[in-house]
Amino acid sequence: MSKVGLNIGLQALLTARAALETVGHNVSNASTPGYSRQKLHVSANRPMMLRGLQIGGGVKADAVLRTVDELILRRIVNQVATVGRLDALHLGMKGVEALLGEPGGNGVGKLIDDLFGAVAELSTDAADPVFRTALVESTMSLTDHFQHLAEEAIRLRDDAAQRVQAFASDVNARAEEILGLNREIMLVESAGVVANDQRDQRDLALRELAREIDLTYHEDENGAVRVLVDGQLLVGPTTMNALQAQVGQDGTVTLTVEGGTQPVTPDGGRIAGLIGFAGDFLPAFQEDVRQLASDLILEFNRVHSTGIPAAGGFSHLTGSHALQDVDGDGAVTDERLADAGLPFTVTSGTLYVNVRDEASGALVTHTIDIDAAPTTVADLIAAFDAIPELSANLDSLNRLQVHADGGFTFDFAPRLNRSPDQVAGSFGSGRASHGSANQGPFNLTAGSTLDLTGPTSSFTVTFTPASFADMSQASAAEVAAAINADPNTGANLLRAVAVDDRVFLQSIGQGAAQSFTIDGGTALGTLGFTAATTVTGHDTSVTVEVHGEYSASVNGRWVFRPNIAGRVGTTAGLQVIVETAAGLPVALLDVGAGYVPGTELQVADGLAVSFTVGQLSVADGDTFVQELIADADTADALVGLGLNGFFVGTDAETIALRPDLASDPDLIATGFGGGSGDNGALLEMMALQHRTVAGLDATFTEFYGSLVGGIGFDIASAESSAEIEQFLTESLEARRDQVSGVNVDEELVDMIQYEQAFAAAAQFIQVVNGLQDEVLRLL
Amino acid sequence: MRDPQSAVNHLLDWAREELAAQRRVLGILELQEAAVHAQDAAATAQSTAELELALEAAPRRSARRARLFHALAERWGVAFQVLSLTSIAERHGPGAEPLLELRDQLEAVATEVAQRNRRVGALIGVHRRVTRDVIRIVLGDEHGDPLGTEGTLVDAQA
Repeated sequence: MSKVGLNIGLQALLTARAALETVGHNVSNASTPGYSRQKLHVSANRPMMLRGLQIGGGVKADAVLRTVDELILRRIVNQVATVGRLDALHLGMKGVEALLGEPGGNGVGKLIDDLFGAVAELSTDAADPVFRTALVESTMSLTDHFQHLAEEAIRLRDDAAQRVQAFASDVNARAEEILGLNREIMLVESAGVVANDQRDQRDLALRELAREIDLTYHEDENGAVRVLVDGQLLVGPTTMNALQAQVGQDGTVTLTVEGGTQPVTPDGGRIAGLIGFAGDFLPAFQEDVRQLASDLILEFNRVHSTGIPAAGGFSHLTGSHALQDVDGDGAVTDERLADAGLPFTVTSGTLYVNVRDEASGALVTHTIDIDAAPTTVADLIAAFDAIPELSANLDSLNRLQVHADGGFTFDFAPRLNRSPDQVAGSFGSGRASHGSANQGPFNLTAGSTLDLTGPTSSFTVTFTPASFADMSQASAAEVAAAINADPNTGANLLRAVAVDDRVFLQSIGQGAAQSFTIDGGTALGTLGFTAATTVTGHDTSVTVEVHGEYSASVNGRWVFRPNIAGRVGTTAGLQVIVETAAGLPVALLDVGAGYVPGTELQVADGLAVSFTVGQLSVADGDTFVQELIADADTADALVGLGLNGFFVGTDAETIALRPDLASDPDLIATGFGGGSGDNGALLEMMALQHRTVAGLDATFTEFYGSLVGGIGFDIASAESSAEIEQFLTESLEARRDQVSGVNVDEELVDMIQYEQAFAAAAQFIQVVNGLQDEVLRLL
Repeated sequence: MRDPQSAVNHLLDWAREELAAQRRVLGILELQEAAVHAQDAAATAQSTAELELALEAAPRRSARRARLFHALAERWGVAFQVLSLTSIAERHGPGAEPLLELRDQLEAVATEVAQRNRRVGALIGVHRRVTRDVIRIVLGDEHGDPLGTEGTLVDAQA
């Protein structure tokens, strides 16, 4: 019996010592990260039977177990991944915010304002070299900043990719740690002992791993955990598969698990935050900046390409954008303009080309109609070639070059030809002039003829297919060129011009002595000429002057013709009918008896016209045309080809001031042909500041403000989300600490309470001992 | 002075009360031992309080027993120190058989209480030393003796 008693007492003492050692372990690890409070679990020993009596077996220690709540641990792991993702995303966003330099006045917004400010200053004196230089400087500051933004965005993307790779290394280090702990836990627990401390370390490692990448984990029956990322095994009981991060040329990061066939797409952890930043947020920012720069280039170049430098038009121009051999057949000229690899789209529309005789100042406006679908590069070159005094070709880099003949210049300005009949002379001219009754296109046949008699001889002009793109659809300009190509025409001092799609036959000289006869020919009916028509010139000629500025916003053409034959200022009832090209009436101008020659007569849309004295003829088809140009390039051909642009490049990365403008600010096109003080182009550029840009659906400033505001909002949202998630994490941590944490004070209080209870009990034990001695002595 | 039978009857009454008290103390000691095993400081303190309560009545019972022993010693002309329950039953004769039965029961319970008391005392003493060691380790020597003067423990002879 005494042996039994001693054994029970020994076990009780060992149990008590284990319990107190557990308390001491808890206290020692109170500050150890991830440590879970441990508790000794005790139970009664199985009783033994002795001489028919059931004798209690005392107490025994079963196990030292961690006090943990697995559910909270799992939620913390998930929450840590969420916080990690938001932190990384937020950090990346802050990098972009710092890049913009807003607020602070050093960003693109201020530089755009500076650019418009410099344009406005120059508009006050377009010839001022200081203002021109200031515009160059402002422009270069803006383009440099755009390029800086583009380069830094790429750097941020590359940095994010490098950090993903670094975090992937951290993931592998954690995975290795977890693998080692798996092995230790399995080894320890195979002996029936719970590996509390190793489990705490593994829980901590799982949390640290989740900070980098979200994960799921499952514990098997041997105590090992399997860790999965995006459903793929990272850590098993005895092996691990390393996470690999491959960075592509475009900076995109592809994650794979060693041996895995599918890419890993994390939803949480810092890696997910960085991938989200580099894959979604940053590209959206880059696209916005690209769009802003691209539309700035487009809009400024639209204006500048139709502008004219102070020195006047161009003798030659070379585009800055190369045409591409998209179909790969070795030729560029067969490519359609809309599909020739140009950075800015060429659409259907009209390109106005002005050709100026520098000696006389005579200006002729030509139109090139572009249909984006069928018009090829060759068609465009041919259209330039068809314009008298101009030619075009591709240079060695497949850029379009346009040249003017000597003594001539050209431009694309929406300028008003103030002497619209100066060159053609088909309206009250002193020349012998007769226009065809029919308008082109004309359905001519090969070998058809026109018989003429001039001052020196009679001759026949024979039309051949070589003179036409399509002889059955011959234009008035082609017919006129074919007539002029006949050497007899010039020899007889005759010429042909095209006006309002009609063919005008004229004497080169002026005066009543000038005369020619249309004798006949097989093309007579097609062209609308009458056989045996003799035409004579006049000693006086009507000079037409156009006044005012065209104020409408669409392009147009007015055709002027007299209502009756008569003399300006003299013939009663003589009027000039003004119609649109489609025949719609615009105005009726009284130029007969009572009209004071030279008086401006209001037509419409801000324009007026004046006439000098002269004879007008209906029978000779007197007509002149006034081209009305609001937009000289509705096809965006100049922008597409890069002819006379302000900027070169296509986006934020490549935007720059055109190099020759930077080196010679006098080349900046400030006007539309109104002379050295003309600031029309500058005013158009200034108007861009407050105009809604179609591609941006806002003004430049509004778009940039929206971009900056959007980033600020995104950052604020990310911060808010991060704060909420951090709060949730801290709440979970607090709950974990309540369950698993060690409170040193509590542990000490517990122990002191034990000690005090023992002390008190010991006192009474002594009393009882004395009393029992007395009682037993009395028996 | 009451007659001997009356005194014996009072002594029987005392013996029953003492027996009940001993059994109560035994029960409390068993609870206390279990509380110590379970590391339950609150239960240990509770059992100690109950023990204190149980022991409060001990002086009164002791005084009553002394008065009865003095009366019988005077009656029989002997020194009261020589009397015991056994000698009183023998002197009183046949009417004292119940007293002998109670004496046997009281001896058995009192012996068990004594043994249990020594064992619990030893158990508490060891626990107390371990606890004090841990507290000293945790708080360190610079805090001095956090527990004040050490108490005296009973000599464990179980």
